[in-house]
Amino acid sequence: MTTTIHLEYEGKAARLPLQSPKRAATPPAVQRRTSAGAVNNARIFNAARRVDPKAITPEEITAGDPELDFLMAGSLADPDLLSTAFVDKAGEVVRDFEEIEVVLAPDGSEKERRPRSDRAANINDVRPIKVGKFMPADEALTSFVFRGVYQIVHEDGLGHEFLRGLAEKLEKDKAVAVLGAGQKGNQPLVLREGGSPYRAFLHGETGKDGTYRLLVLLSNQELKLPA
Amino acid sequence: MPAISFTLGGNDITCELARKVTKDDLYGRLKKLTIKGDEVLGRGYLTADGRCVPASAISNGKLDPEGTPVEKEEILYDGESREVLPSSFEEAAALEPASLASLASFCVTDVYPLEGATLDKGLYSTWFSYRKAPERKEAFVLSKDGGTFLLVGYAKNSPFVGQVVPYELFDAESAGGDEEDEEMDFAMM
Repeated sequence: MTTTIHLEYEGKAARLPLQSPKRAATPPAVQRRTSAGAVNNARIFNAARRVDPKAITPEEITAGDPELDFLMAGSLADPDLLSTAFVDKAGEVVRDFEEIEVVLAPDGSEKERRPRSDRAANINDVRPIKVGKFMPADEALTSFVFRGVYQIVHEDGLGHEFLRGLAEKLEKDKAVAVLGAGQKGNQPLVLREGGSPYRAFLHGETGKDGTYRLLVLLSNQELKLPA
Repeated sequence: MPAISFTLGGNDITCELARKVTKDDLYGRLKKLTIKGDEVLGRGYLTADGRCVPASAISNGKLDPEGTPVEKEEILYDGESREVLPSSFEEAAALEPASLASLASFCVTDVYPLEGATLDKGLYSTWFSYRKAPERKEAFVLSKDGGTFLLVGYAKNSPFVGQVVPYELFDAESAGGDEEDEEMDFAMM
């Protein structure tokens, strides 16, 4: 599956392939085994029962184990035969519920409560991702934590010219360009439907024989200590 | 805070590894809840026979092909067993000066401040392993105004491309992963 980015720079826009470079060092294939053969992960019913601790009486605890349910304990839980449900304190299934998201401050205090919403992908929208202001590459590389690296490549000669020119400009200026979505080009990039938002930076270099490398660096964190 | 040591040009550098700094520590976090009225609902499952069990009633386990729970297992890496290597707290990792451009191809998974590190400003490549393990993670130590940080993650091999794009050098599965402020907002919540 190839992802496309709709990119605009100096009044020119193009839809271009966004590739994920392979890892420099391939992680080893991990196998787990015993003398009986390969080890498999499994989901197993334990004996936990949902109970409201405040509703249990001392008599019930001394007489038995109200928090345990041995009926299915030890049997395999086949994910294909299970449906997700939401339950209240009494363990009853609730059918009319509300999904919300709560914004918490770094100290854990609640800042906002709102209906849950999934972010829409915006890198191949009608509005292109804008190549915004340039900032010194060294400053960007030491100021942000880059969580992901993607590479923009061309599909034809025109795309090659467009991207190599942009990489050359960034290299010459020793800069990275800030990428932004939305009308003003200042919103974070969302690569997938319901995905996380990231601030993005374009890093360019040129090589021999007309080659170039144009990387999209994704960050969701500044490199600094908490206040 | 645990002490951690590095070597650079024959000199020992000892400092303390502070608690990991996450996005949540800087900007807070988004918590997703399912509610009815004021009550926060728990997640559960309906079984095929109509029983309702809480999510906590299902545990992850490891079974051998005969269905017996596994207590001790052998782990093979690329088909071979490997010796367990000392952790970063038991062995000093070498630091090698690196170009800042190396960070452009490096995906950071964890950020740890290094307290008391006496290093010239710059970037140094190294390795990190929080626990004894056969594998060590790639890492950089970045010394800059505002502190010294250990950046743990993995490097990507991004090729220069010419007229013909070498698609075999990319992963088959690509890319993946509204405020109107002028300033970049990193909270993005």
